[in-house]
Formats: sequence, structure tokens, C-alpha cells
Amino acid sequence: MARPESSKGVVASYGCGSGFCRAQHNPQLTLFKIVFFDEMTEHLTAKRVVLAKIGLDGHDRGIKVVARGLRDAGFHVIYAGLWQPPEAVVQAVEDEDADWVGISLLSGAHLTLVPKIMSLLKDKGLNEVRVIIGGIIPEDDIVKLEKMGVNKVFGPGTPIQEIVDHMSTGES
Amino acid sequence: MDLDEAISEFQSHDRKALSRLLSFAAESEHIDEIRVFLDKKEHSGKTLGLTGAGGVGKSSLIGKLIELLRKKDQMVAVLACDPESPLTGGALLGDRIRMSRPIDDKGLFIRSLATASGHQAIADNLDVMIQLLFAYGFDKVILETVGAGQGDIAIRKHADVLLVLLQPEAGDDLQWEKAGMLEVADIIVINKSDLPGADRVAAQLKNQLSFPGADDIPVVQTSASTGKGLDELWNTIQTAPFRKIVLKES
Repeated sequence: MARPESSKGVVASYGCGSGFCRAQHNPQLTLFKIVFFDEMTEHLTAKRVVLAKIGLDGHDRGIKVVARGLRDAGFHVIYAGLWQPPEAVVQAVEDEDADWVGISLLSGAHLTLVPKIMSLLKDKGLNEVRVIIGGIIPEDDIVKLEKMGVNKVFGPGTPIQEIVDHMSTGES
Repeated sequence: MDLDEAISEFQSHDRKALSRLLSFAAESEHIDEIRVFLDKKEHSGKTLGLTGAGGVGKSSLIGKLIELLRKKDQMVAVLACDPESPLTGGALLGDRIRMSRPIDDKGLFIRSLATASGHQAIADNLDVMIQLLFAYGFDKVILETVGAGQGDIAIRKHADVLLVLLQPEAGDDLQWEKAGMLEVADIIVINKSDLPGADRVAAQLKNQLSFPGADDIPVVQTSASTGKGLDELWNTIQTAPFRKIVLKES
């Protein structure tokens, strides 16, 4: 089965049968747009996302909330944790064959560190990987980040569903 | 990157191609073609399996083993299996944060794998992934899975040497009599042995393993946080007899 395109609204997939039915009937899960379901192969492919915090920034509450939200929406979340150098994050993205990388910054260092991420991704030829940023980012800087190739910036108070919808549909 | 491109780039030692081929294997795509491609490859690599209950310290101990192996200039790859939700198919894969690495170390590769429920706690096509890593040039492949605790012992057939991890206060001596748990181990590791109670668990196990007819399985005490016992563990791994265990087909 081909890797599903994000534009088809695919979030994740898993073996058909009881799992799928339970997901549909579980009212808790109606919060989430859940699955791509391929009757031909009875197989589904979850999107992989690396989540990390870079630089000297110890505030990981937000990124953990996002990690759980994406997990519950059917993503495979590779949590790379705190205090990561940009090089380690990009190496994780390459080794994990991730579709997305999410970076959280509350330190104000986004205009120093995010460009490093973008150029390292480019150096490795990881051009298909989409980058999302979360945290405290001034509005003026959002434009600058997007010009660097960042797919989307999510600020404080963003509902998880908004992030899930964005990553499921690929709309910017 | 499609299959043909991935295979051709893989042959010129492209890490992205390795990564993509592992994804194909994990998703059971093009699996027959990849098997045919790998059929011609030979290797002398060894697999080391670590299994044990969640929180026992598998990832942290792997982190220490990585340091040790990299000092010996061995190329190391890790396949870390974590469970996938049976309800949503989602997963949080958090093993690699315990395996810190020097920046830009090309001799280390870590891949996190989500395992569907009911698959004995190992990812699909794990054998293909191991072969891919050896074909790429890794000397050691470390497999991590929760599971063999009580029953999920599929990891046994993929590991040349299998470590079962326990920790202090892990249960009384009847636990060690239960089937599945210890009978598949090549080495029993009592991790977190800087904590009280490690000696007692070790004594219970050694007593159990000295019963007539029992296999003489080495018991090693380690601590990933203090580094205690790591050299002893490595020596034990190197001298462990490879016990070919035939698993009963279910």
C-alpha cells in the first residue's frame, strides 16, 4: 500500500475489525478524526511525528500535552525530549523517517535555533518533512519563521484539535 | 522515495534510504521485494535482545551499552518497540530520550517502532529490519521490547543473546517459577541494583536456578544510573552460550 497523502485527511491506520469498530463506537474518540481504512489491505499507516524541545528551555508541559493529543488522534509520536541540540533532532527525524517534526520553544531563541533546524533538514535532503513550531512566538516572528519554510506556528491556547486537523489535512 | 530509489540509494550507503526501507518493512509494504534484495547479503552481526516490564530500565541500560559499544568502535543500531493503542492506533514512542548520543555520531542508529496489540510486543517484520541494519553495516542490533515479562516471548527467536531485566522488589520466589518469564533468558539482569533489595532478588533467583534440571543462567546486577555491573554484564554477554530455543508454534 502506498503511503497515504496527508491531503486525503489521513491520520492513522490499523488492522481492521474490532479495533476499528471500537474506535468508531467509543464516544470519547469522536473528538478525533481517526482513521484511514483500507479494506483491500486491512492495514493502516500512522503518520510519524518527532516532537522535541531545543536549546536551553526546560518547560515541557505544553509539548507533552501535544504529544498526548497527537497520540490519541492516532499519530505515532516519537518524543525526543528536552534540551536537544538541532543536530540531534534532525538526526532523529532522519532515522525515524518522520513525516512531521514539532518543535516547542518558550525561551525566545526561535530565530536562532529554528533556522539551524531548517538548514540541517535541507542539508540532509529531508525536504518532505514538514515543520511545526509551538510556544511563545511573537507575531512578527511568525512571518519570519514561515518565510524560512516552517509549515505552521501554533501559539498558547491552541486547541489540540486544531493541530490534529492541520496535520491531518495538510492545510496551512 | 519509492522502493527502487530506496534500494539503489541504500546500496550507496544512504541513511535516508535505510530509514525508508525500515518504514516499508514496519508497514509491511514491498516486503517480498525487500526480502529478495536482502537474500544476497551476508553479515556476521549479532542481535542482543532486552526485555522486561515497563519502567525496569531497558532503555537506560541500552543507553549505557551503546556508550560501551561505541567506545569499542562497534556500529550499533537499536530497534525499540513500544505499544500502539488498540483504540486509536496512536503511540507515544519515548525510548530514544534515554539513549543520549554525541552529536553527529554516524555509528549509532535508533528507530522507534509501534507494535500493535496481540503481536507479542514485537513489530511486524522485525527479522527484515534486523537484516537491513546488518546489510547497512551495523555490527550489533539491540532489540528492546516490553513483554517477555509473562508470556510475550516472540523476541526470543530474533535475539542471539536475550537479556531479561528485573528490578528489586519485583516479586517473591513463586514469580520465578512461572512459565515464559525466565526460561527464555540467556542472562538475567537485575537492574536498579543500587536500590535496596537487589541482593535478595539475586539470591532468590540463584537459588531457583540451582534446582536440579534447571539451566544455569547467569544473574548479573547492574545499575544504569551508577554504571555498576556494566563491565560484568558485557563480559557475560560475550561468553553467553547461544542457546537455540525452539518456540512452540501457537
